[in-house]
Amino acid sequence: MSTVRIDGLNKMYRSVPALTNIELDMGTGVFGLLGPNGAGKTTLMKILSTLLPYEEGRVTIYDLDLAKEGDQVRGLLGYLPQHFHVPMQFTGREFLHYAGSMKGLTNHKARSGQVERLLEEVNLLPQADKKIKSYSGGMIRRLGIAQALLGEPRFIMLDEPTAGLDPSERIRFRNVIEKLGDNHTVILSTHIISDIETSCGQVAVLNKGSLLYQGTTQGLAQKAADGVWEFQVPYADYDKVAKEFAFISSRREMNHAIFRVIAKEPPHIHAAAVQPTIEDGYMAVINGVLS
Amino acid sequence: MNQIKLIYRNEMRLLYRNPFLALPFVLIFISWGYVILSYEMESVHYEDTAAVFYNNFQWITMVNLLLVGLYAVYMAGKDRESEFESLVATYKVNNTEWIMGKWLVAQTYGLGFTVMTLLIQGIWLLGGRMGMEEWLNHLLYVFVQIEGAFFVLVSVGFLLGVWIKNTLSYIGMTALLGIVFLLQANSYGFAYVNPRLNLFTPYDSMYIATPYESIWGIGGVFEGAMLHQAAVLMAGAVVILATILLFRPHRRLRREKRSLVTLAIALMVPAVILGGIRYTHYNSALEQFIDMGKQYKLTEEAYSKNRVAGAERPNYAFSMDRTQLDVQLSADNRIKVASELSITYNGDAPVNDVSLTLQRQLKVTDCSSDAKITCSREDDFIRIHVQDGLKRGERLDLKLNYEGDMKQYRADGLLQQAFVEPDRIYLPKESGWYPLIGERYLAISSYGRVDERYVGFEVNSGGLVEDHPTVFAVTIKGNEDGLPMALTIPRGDDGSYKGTSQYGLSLIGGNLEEIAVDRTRIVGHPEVLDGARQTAEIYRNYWGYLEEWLEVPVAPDVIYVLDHEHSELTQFTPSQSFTAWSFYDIKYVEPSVMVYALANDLIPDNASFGEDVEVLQRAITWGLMKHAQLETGYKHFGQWYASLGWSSEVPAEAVKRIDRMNRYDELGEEEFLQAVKYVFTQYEGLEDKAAFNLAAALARYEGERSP
Repeated sequence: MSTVRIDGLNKMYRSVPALTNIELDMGTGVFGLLGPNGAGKTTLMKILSTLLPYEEGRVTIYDLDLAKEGDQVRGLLGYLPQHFHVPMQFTGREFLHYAGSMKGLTNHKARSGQVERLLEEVNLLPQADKKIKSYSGGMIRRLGIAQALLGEPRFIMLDEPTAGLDPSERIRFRNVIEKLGDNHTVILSTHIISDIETSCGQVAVLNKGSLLYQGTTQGLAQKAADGVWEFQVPYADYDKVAKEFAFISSRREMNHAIFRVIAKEPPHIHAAAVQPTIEDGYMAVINGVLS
Repeated sequence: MNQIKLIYRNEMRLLYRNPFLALPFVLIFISWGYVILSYEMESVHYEDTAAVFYNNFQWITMVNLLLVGLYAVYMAGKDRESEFESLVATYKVNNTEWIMGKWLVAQTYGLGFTVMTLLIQGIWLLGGRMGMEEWLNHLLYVFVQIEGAFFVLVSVGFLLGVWIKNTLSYIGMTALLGIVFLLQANSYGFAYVNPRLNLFTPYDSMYIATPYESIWGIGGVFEGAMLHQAAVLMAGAVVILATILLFRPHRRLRREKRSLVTLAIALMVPAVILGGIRYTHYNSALEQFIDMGKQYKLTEEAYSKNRVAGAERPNYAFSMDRTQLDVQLSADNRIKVASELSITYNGDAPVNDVSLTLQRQLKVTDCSSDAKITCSREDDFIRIHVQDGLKRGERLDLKLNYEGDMKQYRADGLLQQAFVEPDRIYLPKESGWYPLIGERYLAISSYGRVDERYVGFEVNSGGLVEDHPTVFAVTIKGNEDGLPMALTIPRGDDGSYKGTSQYGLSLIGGNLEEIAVDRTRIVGHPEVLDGARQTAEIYRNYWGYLEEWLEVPVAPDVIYVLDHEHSELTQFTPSQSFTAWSFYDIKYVEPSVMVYALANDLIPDNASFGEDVEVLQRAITWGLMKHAQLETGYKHFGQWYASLGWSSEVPAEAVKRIDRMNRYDELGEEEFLQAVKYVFTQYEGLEDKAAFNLAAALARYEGERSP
C-alpha cells in the first residue's frame, strides 16, 4: 500500500532545476535513496520534511497533501538531517526532552518513557546526563537518530544516518531500522551501499534532479546484469589499464591487479562475467554505460 | 501555550549555561557601583541622588539597549546559523510557538537588566529625600522606559534576525541604535532635524539632557513617558507578530496567519491611537513654541540691541511701587489673579498713558481704577489711558484681574518654562504671570534670521531688569495639598508672602526646602541644601568683602537651586536680589573663577559699555584676587592686565587708563581699593553706563583727594 506518493514534482533554485518531474511511490518499509552529490537527494528530503516549498507537482504522505497539510505531515515525521547540529550546552537527555516537547510530546511522563527507551536503543543511556559538547561524532549521530524516532513517527527520513558510526553502532542502527521498516515508511539517503543492501527493500536512484530508477534493490543490481566484468592483469600494467577502462573497483592479488568494469562487451580477452551487485547496478544507472 | 512554556524553559536553560551572557550584567553592575560609590563618598552632596541616577541612567540605558538588542538578534538567528532550526522546522511545533518561546527568553534577558536597574535605583533612592509616592513614580518611570524599550528592541532584533540572514542583522541593530542615539542628541533643544522625529525612540526622550528636574523630579515627563511607552509596547507587539509572519512563511498554518494578522491589526489600532495622542501632545507644544518664536520676533535693530544690552535698566518714567496679588492656582496650568497695583509717574511732563506687560495668554477680566481710565490690550501689553493725565509724583491705583493658561515652552517645546500642576509649580518672572511696569519683551526671538536649526530661531527670556523696587503682597490659594512653595519674597506666618524686591516674583513649588545663610534665603531640593549652604558660606566671605569695599549690596536676598536648564533661563534677568544656581554653580566653586563671576555680577560684560567699563570690571576682579590671595604671578594690576589674552586688542587710550589704575596699585593695596571704590560709585550713579569715563572719574577722585 502506497504511503508516500510523489507526482510530477519539480523544484527550481532560482532558474536552476533541482528536481525534474519526479514520480515516486513508496510503501511501508525501508526505502533507499541513492545518487551522487548534487543529484537532488537532499532537496527531495527537504521537500518531504516540509523544509522546502516546491513549485509543481503533488506530494501526499499518508494521504496528507504536503503542500496544504504540512503541519499534519510534521506530526508523522521523523527526520535526521545530513548535518545534525544541536545546542551543545544540553545533555543528551535534556535535548531529547526538548525535541520531544517540540514534536508535541507535552506530557512529561509520556515523553520520559520514549526518551529513556530511545536512549537505550541508541546506546546513549550511560552518557545521557553528559553535555552534548563532550560527545563524539558517532554519539551525536546516535542522538540524532534518537530524536528522529521521538514521537513515534510513521514517516522517517534519515539522511546519511550511519556516517561517523563505528561498525558495531552501524549494526545496532540497522537492527533498529529493520524493526521500524515493519510498519513505518523509512527513507534512507546514503552513500553507503551496504546500508542499502542490508536495510532496504526498495530503492530509487537520482541523478542531476531526475529519477533514474525506482524498484527493488535486486532490480537495481540487475540493471548491470551481463555487463559486469572482472579481469586480471600483471600489477605492473595497472596504470596502463586504469587509463584505458572506466572501472568500478580494483584490487590486488599477489602480483596481479583485478579490475571490475561495467561494459556491454568483454573489455579484455581474459574478462569474465560476474554477478552484479547493487553498487554495480547503481553505477550502471548513473553512468548509463549499459543503456 | 504549553509548547511555548517548554521552549522557553529549555532556551532559558541554555541562557543560564552561557557564562558570556552574564558578563554584561557584571559590566553594568560595576558601572553602577562606580557611580554610586563616587557619589556616596562625597562629604557634601551638590546634586540630589535622583539627578545623579538619571544622568547615568541615560548612558547606561544606551549600553543596555545595545546589549539586549544584539542578544535578541543572536537569539533569533543562532539556531538558523547552527542549522538546528532546520531540524526544528520538521517538528510539529508551529512558527508562533517557536519564535515566541525564544522571544520570551530574550525578553527575560532584558528584564534581568531592568530588574537590576530597578533594584539599584530603588535601594539607592530610598536614601534620597523624597516621599513614597515620588519614589514609586521613579521606579515606575524607569521600569516603563527601560522595559518598553527592551520590549520593542527585542522584537526588532527578532525581525532583523529572521529577515536578514547574516551578520548584517547585527550591524542593522547597531545602526538602529545609532540612529536612536542621534535622535536623542537631536533632542537637546536645538534640533537640526525635525524634533518630532524624536518621538521615534524606543523610550521617551522628550526632554533636554535629563528627564529629572531637581525640585520637580520627573513630573514634567512622567505622563508623556507613560503614553509614549504604551504606544511603544503596542508597536513592539506588532513587530513580533510581523516577525512570526515573515518566519518560514510556507510553514505557517492558515489559522496561524489569520490569528496573527487579526491580532496585529487589533494592536495597531491602539498603537496608532496612543502614538497619535503622544504626537499631538508634543506637536501642540512645538507649535506653541514656534508661535512664540514668531510672536516675539524683533526687528534686526531691536534684536541686536537687546542681545547686547539685555541687562540694562529700562529707565521707565513709571515705577510699580506696590503690587498686591491674590492668586488662585488650578491644577491644569491655569491661574486666576486679582491684583491691585500702585503706579507712580516719575517723569517731568504730564502724560495720559501708562503701559503694563502681562503674558498674552492671560485674559484680562477687569481693569479698573478710581481714576477715569480706559484699558486696551495688544499682545503682552496693557495700555491704560488716564483721562485726567498723570503729573510727576502722581500715583495711579489700578485693579487688574486676569486669568488663563500659563503653560509655556522653550527649546523646541521640550522644556516647560511655566507650569502649574498638583505636584510642581513654576511661574518665573519671565513668564509674565504678574503685571510688569512698561512695555517689556518677555522673550526675544531670532525668528526670520538665518539659522540652521529646524525651527529657524532661538528664544531667550527678555532682560527684565527693574529701575525701582516694588513692595509685594501675595496670597496664593489652590494649593490645598500643601505642596512646598517658595516665592522670591519671604513668607509670613499667615501664609501670605510679603516683601520688597527689585527683582520681582518667581514662584516655585515642588520637593523643596528653605535655609538661610545670613540674610540670604536658599531654596532648593532638600538633598542639595547642605552643598548650597557650603557654597553660600564661601560666597558670603566675598559678598561681605565687596559690600564693605564698594558699599553696595551684593549678597542676594534669595537663591533658588534649580536644574541646569531652568537656572540658565533666569540668567537673562541678572539681579542682585535674586540668583538661580544650578548643580554646576554649587559644585564647582573655585576662587579663581568666582572672582570673575562676582565682578561680572557687579558690572556685566557688555561690549557697548566701552573699554573704560571693562577696565573697571577688571580692577574689581584684581581687588578680589588680592583678597582671595590668589597666586597670579604678577605683582601689580597693570602686569596682570597685560597678561590677559585680549590685552593686545586694547586701544592705546585704554592702556593709559590701565596704567593710571596700576599706579594706585603700586602705591599700595589700600590706595588701589579706594580708587576703585570711588570710580565704581561714579559708574553706579550713571543711568547710561556707556557714558562712563574712567579718566574723568579718576580726575575727580584726585581732585577730591587733594587738600
